[in-house]
Amino acid sequence: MKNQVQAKYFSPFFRYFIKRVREILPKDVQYAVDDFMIRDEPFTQCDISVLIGISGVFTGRSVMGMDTRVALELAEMLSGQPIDSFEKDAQSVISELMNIIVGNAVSELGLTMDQIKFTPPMLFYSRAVKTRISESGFTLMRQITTGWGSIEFNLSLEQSI
Amino acid sequence: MISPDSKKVLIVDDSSFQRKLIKYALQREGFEILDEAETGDDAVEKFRQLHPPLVIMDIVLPRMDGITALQEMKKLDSNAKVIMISSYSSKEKVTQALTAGAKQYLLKPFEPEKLIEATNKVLEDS
Repeated sequence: MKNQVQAKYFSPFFRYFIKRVREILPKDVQYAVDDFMIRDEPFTQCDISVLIGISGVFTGRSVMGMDTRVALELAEMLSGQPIDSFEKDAQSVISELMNIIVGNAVSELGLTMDQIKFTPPMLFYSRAVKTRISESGFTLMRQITTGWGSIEFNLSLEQSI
Repeated sequence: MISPDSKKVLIVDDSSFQRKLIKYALQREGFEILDEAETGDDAVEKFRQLHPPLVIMDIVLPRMDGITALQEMKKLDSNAKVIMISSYSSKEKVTQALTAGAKQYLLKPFEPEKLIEATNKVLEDS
């Protein structure tokens, strides 16, 4: 098998995705954590996506995606202020959320700095754009569904050559 | 007891949201925010100009990372007081930061109370 990344490397990313998003949602907001999905590539992105690249003992990309309405709701909840449009502050909020999710997950893996690195978050507007984030493997996805829409976390990891 | 002159801070993080969170937490406790920086090299330049009693600085920064910026600040002032913050903590990274001269290392996300506790401890220890 070409791609032999151990399953244990995937789970911290999804665990922190769910944990950090749950912490933001008010207690009276209904949400559901959906099952894992293996995603066909390329896949259609949401309105807003945040990408963090990972390199080291394995390489990969993590992409968190959501529609504009969800992004605004999350940004308002995190910042404690109303946000009318997805401008600089809201972009910063969502990017920082992704940075925290990936950073916390990588911390839990317990690898050294030589073994794993990750990039700063890159936010982009991606509605209707089809994207492939894995080179030769597959993308695992999990989403949290709320009343305003879904937040999805996509992860592709491959063994480094 | 922390003197009012010591309650002045330079905040360094490339996330405007994170800088805002830190600023609000500190201002509620009577701290003055001298300035903010988004990059490590800008942080070093502002440190040189302002001589802040305390710096709160992210590790992953554009152009010059936080550890390198910390080292540059220490060259300017060996008594520089810097608290490092990051979404990533490994034993190695924490050791690297503390060896470079950081006084504390906080993992994001942190509660405002934890930040204030760390800030007060660093300033009281001077």
